[in-house]
Amino acid sequence: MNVTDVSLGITWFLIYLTAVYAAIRSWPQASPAVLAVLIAAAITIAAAVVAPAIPLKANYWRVFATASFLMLVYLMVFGATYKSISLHILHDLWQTPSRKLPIEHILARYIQKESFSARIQVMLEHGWATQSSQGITLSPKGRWLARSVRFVQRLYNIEKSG
Amino acid sequence: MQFSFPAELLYPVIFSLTFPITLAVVSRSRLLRGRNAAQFFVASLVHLAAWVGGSLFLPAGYTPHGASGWLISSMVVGSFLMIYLEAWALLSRGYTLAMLLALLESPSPLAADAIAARYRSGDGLEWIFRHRLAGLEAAGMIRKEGADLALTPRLGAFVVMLYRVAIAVFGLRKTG
Repeated sequence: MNVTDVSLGITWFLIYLTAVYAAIRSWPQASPAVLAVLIAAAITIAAAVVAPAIPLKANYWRVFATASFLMLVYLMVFGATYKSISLHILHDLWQTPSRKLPIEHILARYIQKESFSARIQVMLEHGWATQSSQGITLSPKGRWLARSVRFVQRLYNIEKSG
Repeated sequence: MQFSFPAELLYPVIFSLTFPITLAVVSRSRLLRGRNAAQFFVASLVHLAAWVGGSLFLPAGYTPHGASGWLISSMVVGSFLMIYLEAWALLSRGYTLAMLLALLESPSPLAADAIAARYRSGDGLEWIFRHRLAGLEAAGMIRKEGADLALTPRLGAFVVMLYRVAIAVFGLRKTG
């Protein structure tokens, strides 16, 4: 019976994989990370609705455990591919004919320009910070978030992060 | 398909909920101080060993049945660990969160350059860059050649190949 559960879990995951691929290609303006998470939630709900009609001797929770595990592995690899600065640097080195770039060029491009500016933009867009002529400051929402993070970091003895 | 919750999955689910306690205890170890990745790794090993050990002493019906039973139970424990890892990575390595913390520590508004300088309690934004490069260099994916950074022909190029495959499989157009 467990073999049927695992097989159905793998099938569920493959449907998810296909749906995310199709969604990312169909809606290039949408955030791929948001699409991947939303589709995972949608497929999980849909599976719970469809499951009773599946004429197989299987257990929903075992199937769910298998599919969830595979989807989480997928999301971890997806997240690394989508956001990793390290992988992006490696890729850009590979794209040059000599397979090398000046260190200062990489520092200026990835850290000071692209990534840093993008993160500032994220803070402003999410309403965590506001910008004025004096500079950037935390909004009440951002202050609450930062304090919550600081609290959990202290709970787990994380002295520095970044 | 039936919906009754299998007894053999009760222990992995309930036991997985205790992982934050294991992690909190391990993170207080002096030996692992400041080494966030190692803290999580050690806590995971302790957790996995306790799960396997505990599973062997459970009453019949609650222990995983056969290889596929162990496989599904381990996937439950693994799923929880991945969720915790994601949260841990965000807390210990989160780029945007670290910028928010730099702003929290400042009594007045900061210009973008000042946020960069105060990043990671004053280590500065360059720290993240040096840290990531040190990791890539230690893993043998890049090497320094004077003022340049070069991709290693074997491992570095192999990782890039995997990265390109992943981009194609995921259907991504833009990364980073």
